Amino acid sequence: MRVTELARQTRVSPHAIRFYARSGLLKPDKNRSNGYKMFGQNDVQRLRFIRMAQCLGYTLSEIAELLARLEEGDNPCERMERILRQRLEETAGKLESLQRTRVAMERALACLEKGDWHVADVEGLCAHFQAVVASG
Amino acid sequence: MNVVGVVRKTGATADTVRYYARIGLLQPRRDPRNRYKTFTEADVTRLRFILRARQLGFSLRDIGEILQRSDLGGTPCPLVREIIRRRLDEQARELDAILILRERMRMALAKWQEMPDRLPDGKEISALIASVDT
Repeated sequence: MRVTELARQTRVSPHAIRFYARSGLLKPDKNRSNGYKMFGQNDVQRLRFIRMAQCLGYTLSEIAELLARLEEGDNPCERMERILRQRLEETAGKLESLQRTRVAMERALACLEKGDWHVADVEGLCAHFQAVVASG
Repeated sequence: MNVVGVVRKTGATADTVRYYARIGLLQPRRDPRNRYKTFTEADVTRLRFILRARQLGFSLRDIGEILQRSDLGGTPCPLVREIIRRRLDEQARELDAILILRERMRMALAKWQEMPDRLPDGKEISALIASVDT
């Protein structure tokens, strides 16, 4: 089938499909007479997997690796799980730093709203910033 | 002073100093004799502010806006307040997105725990799809 038909079946945009093909995640055949990309039923499956894996936070290069393993008859499940566990750990760190920034910003905002900061320039601002970061 | 002097005074890396100069947050003069960038104490003060503001979560664009306002004279406080409100909104959205993703990842892992053999026969991709379809 052609790109448009694959797009219709999977509800993935033709633009995205072409991008995945260009990145090697999908491997359509070329129709010799007109040069169009021709996709098979297997690509429908691959595309579903790509989208779901992206939803779970896998990067495209990780997805390519998983699909390659599968193609070589290698069970990719263990690798999939390891990546996800690592990603969860990274997420914990990200949440923590976001939380820290948030607390400092909220403190700064409270001071600004009370009109506590009498500063004429960025040097004065800098001292107050330092104080809210330090008290965190 | 040159870049090295600024590095010594602020603890920023030379790359950072050059980058901020390139994007206009710092505005060193060129030494007419050797074309090297020459920084003043005012640049050091600016850089200290930039580093501190980055630590607090301001973007470089936010910082550029604050510096520009401050260069025009007058207190930058109202602008800073406005930017912080904007940032807090954005962060709340970012936080929500991360929490949703985390929940999805946890559900997938929990599901995988219950199905030790996820690719039973012939290593079918459809089985793999079922395993991530949370």
